[in-house]
Amino acid sequence: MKAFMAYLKIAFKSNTIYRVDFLFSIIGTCVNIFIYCAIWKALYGDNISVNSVSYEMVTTNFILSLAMSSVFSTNDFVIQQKLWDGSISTDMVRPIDLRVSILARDLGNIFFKLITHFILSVIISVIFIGMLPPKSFVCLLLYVIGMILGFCVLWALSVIVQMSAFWIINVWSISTIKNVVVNVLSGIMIPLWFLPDTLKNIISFTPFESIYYIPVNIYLGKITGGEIFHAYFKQLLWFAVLFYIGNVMWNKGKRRIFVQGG
Amino acid sequence: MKNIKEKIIEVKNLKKNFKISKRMNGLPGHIANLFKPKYEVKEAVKGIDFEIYEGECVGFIGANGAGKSTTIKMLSGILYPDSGCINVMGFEPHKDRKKYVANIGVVFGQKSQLSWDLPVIDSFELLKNIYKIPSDVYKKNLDEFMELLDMSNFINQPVRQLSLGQRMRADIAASLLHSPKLVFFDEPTIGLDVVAKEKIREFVRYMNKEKKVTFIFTTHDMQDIAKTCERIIIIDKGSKMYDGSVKELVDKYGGSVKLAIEIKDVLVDEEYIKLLKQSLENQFIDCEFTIEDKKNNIVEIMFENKTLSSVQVTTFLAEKFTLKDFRISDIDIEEIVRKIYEGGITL
Amino acid sequence: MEKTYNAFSLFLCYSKITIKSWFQYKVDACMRSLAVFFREATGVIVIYLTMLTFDEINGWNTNELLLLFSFVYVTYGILIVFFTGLRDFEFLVNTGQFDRFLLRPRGALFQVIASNSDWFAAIGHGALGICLFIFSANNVQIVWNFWNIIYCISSIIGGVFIQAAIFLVVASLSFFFIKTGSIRELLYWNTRKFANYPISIFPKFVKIFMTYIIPFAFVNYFPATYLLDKDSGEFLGKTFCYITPVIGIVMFGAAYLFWNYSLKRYKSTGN
Repeated sequence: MKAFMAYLKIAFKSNTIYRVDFLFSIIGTCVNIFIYCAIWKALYGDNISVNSVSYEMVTTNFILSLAMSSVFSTNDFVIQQKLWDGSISTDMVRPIDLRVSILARDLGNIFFKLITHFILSVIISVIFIGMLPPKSFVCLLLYVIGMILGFCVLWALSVIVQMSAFWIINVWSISTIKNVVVNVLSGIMIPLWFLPDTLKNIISFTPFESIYYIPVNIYLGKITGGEIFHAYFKQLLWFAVLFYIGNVMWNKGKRRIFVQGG
Repeated sequence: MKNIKEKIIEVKNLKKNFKISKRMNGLPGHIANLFKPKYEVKEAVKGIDFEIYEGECVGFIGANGAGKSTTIKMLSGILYPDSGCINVMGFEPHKDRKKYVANIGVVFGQKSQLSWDLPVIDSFELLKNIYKIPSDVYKKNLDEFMELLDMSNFINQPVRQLSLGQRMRADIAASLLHSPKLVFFDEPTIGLDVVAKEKIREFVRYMNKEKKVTFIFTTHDMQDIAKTCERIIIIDKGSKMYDGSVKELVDKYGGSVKLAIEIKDVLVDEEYIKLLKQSLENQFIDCEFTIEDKKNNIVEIMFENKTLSSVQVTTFLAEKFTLKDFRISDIDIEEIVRKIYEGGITL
Repeated sequence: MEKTYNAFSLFLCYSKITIKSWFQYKVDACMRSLAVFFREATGVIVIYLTMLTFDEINGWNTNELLLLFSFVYVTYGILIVFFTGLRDFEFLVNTGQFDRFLLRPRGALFQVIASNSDWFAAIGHGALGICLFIFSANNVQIVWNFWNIIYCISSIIGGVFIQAAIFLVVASLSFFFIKTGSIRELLYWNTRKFANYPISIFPKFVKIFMTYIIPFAFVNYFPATYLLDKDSGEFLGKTFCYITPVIGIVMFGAAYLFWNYSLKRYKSTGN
């Protein structure tokens, strides 16, 4: 636990060093939110609601999911980097599991971004665009839980991408394709409400809607009562499945290092 | 029978400053940095003069951050000098860059110019195109380097599979393919093993003696200097400290003797060293001794041999202390340079 | 003439090297092209999915939007054949590789440009762009004539130069700052995000920014409105549709002067 906290601290601190990058990534998030909201404003035109979704719900969806995605930073290249420079062998002999240290680092980044990026970009967006308040205070709390579970799913996905570094030289392509799929199917680039039903049904069988779509719907009160627990269960299930796959890959991949090392 | 040599490099009062941004700590400091960054001026090179003649092989040495890299970069046209003039083969490097660099070769020991994933020969072909080397010259040079640098067994291998020594040899060949008259070597032997180093030194000697190529050589390995250069220029804190022949430097400042003794029965510790020093100084008044613990019960004693003969010292030590073995040697160039860096010798 | 020939042959030689080293990792190279294609296609897919519910955005229908997109992809595809070196210039400076270019008897900028061509990504972008262009131009029934074709070609070339000028300015800034990633992010990538949509949907300050400050609107918006014979919006005159090539050349010229000015202030990285 102590080592975990140490990693977390390092990640948090190193974030404060690159001030300019920090500033620009907030600007980047705000620009993204702004663009999507402008497009959808033009799309809505004079309509108040389309498919029983109001424009405000659309902007709220964009603000929350884009702000979350700016926070949920996972570095898909950790293992690849460690295999390249050979530092993986030192990590293997450390008492702390490599995946735990990766998680600690990611969480350090997240805590930093949560109190900076997330809050700042939401505040800026509220001032310039405006968004709906949570349906109720309870909804807000439930949203936070959904958000944490959503991150777990995304993190487990990232671990799978990272582990593929044991088999392929460069995970860039896989990471890029993963990001594309996540962005489209989890509701960042288009609110899932507007997708055709067949597509929506297909997506409901994938882990992607667990990441951003479920938390946002909880916030907006579109998922209520027992459905919420159903949604949580879905998130947990996906996390368990993806984590298991990552675990299998890790155990197989680990052996490959020793083979290579001779 | 020496010909009157032609001047190839002339440097007068060369200066270069760098602006370094100064960071302040704490949150207020960070914010202040963002809006009003503060700078500090560092004088990297402060007024250097020297001349180098055709066919010379000059060692250019100095501690890290002494300004030698900066000087080399100005000589090779990468950096603009702040003031002073440089004339190399009639060119002002930074002004006539394109014409000038066709006549020089540069090897950076730490930065390869070869394509990492491709066979060595592919990079050579590219350089042939870049330098517009005529095919016959290219072929002649390539054949010659293949033999001199013993490259035939790895010329078709991707660079990433080469050993450091092989890569360095390929890099050296790459920088000389266009038959430059003047070559800058920036730490070409860094990280190499003894055999690989020797091969490179041999190559430099050959090119220098037979092909009359002028070499300027920066290195931290004094063996490189001792084995290839006749002249050295020592730079420290941006100024020239010494400029002359290697032999002269050794004669002038190397007038000390190094005596290594191995102590028997007693364990050498700090106390022991102190005692040793004291008794030596009591015995030979007015003489200075530098004593160093070399571990494993070996102690190194250095002293000037102008006033004191090594026989006297050894006899004294043999009487007073329990010696197992001893060895006397002259101080070599390495030692001298080390002492210059440490401020032990003022030139 | 000989000079052009030499330059061209060196460019080919460099490209040969790049492609050869890519093919050292064949599977990876193909996967990269595929990933780029997917990444870029996302925008198109999103537009398509959105347009399933909505018919038009501010008077632009799906096909017209795709035509707007295609200009971005086609120009970018050409751009990274010639100017990847400028995009990744920060890396050259920080690793000290730029020193090497200065030690070779060719123009520094020329070497930066020639030494790095991202052919594989270019195929990804270019193929997508050309497909979209043909598809959408066909669907909106543009009547092609000699002047139209000349117009398209010159606008695309102009669009490439506008973006190259932005890259060149950011690259020149590498001589002053260690990290330029965020500046490039702001000046290029963020601006490009706006350019994927008709700028008429944005508030006035965005229009002004996209027209006068980082004139990305000239890359796709103005050429597309001309081809589609649309009104380009309140304060934006019709003449703007014709001057893309001029803007491109003027911007690139200015950026080149800035490059030359900055190069003199180059501080090679110390060890």
